[in-house]
Amino acid sequence: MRIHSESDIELVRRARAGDRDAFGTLALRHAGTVRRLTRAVLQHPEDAEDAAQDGFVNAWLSLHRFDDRQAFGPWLIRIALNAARDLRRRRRVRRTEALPPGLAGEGRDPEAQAGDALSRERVARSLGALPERQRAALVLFEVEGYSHAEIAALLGIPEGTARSDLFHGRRRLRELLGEEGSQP
Amino acid sequence: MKQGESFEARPDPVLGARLRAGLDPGDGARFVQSLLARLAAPPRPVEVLAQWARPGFAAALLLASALGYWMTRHSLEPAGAGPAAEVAAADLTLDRDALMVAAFDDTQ
Repeated sequence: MRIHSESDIELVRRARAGDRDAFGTLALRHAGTVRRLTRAVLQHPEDAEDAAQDGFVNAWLSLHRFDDRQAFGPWLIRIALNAARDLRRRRRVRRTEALPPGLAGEGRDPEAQAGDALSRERVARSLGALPERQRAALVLFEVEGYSHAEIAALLGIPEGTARSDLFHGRRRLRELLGEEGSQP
Repeated sequence: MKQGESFEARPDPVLGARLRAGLDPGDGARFVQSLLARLAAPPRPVEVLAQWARPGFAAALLLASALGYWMTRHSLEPAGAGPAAEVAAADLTLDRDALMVAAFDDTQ
């Protein structure tokens, strides 16, 4: 699949005309962001994967409504966040579990993998202690590089609230990671 | 207090790297493969419903509003309006007169 040769908009136009491969290229380009975000929001790996898939399917079905003057990434993120919220409503009875380690890093040194897995589990557990909106804001800012204003628009909150969520989320996450890091 | 000082306007690369590692979803190609397989399959009923949910809700709302307007309009219409209502009112007047005569006869 050609990942970097075409812009998102060109791929959207092709996908809109029914080209599934073009949509696959778009999906591959944005899957990391969407899947990290649904994981941060749902805190359950299987639900997060389902929500990410639902988000992409909804985006595929709604491509005719996408405005070409917009950026595709934020549009997709909004759809994925809605899919995550919908899925959580449908499966509210399911207990929230910490993300299990070990999905990535196959084929590496087992000791290094175990260390990575432990670290991932710590991060996931610490992140899980924050409110949902703070989790989403943190991932969008720290990992995906969105600005305060963009995060505010994506989450449907005032910019000041996004700043405040980030400030408190960061502080709490650092505390939690520090506390966990100091444990044997 | 300046905004940059109080809210740390730039991403923290260390925290970002830990978050990225902690939320690493794994194989993207496999995810996309299963997504494309899902797109190739006929849409699931829930997806079809989801597609129709918004227009369906709007249509239901419009219908409910129209029905509400129609019912309100008819329930507020004056009783004397329309020929049927006039006939009913005339019958009622006659009955009342007959009753008054009967009552007068009883008292005598």
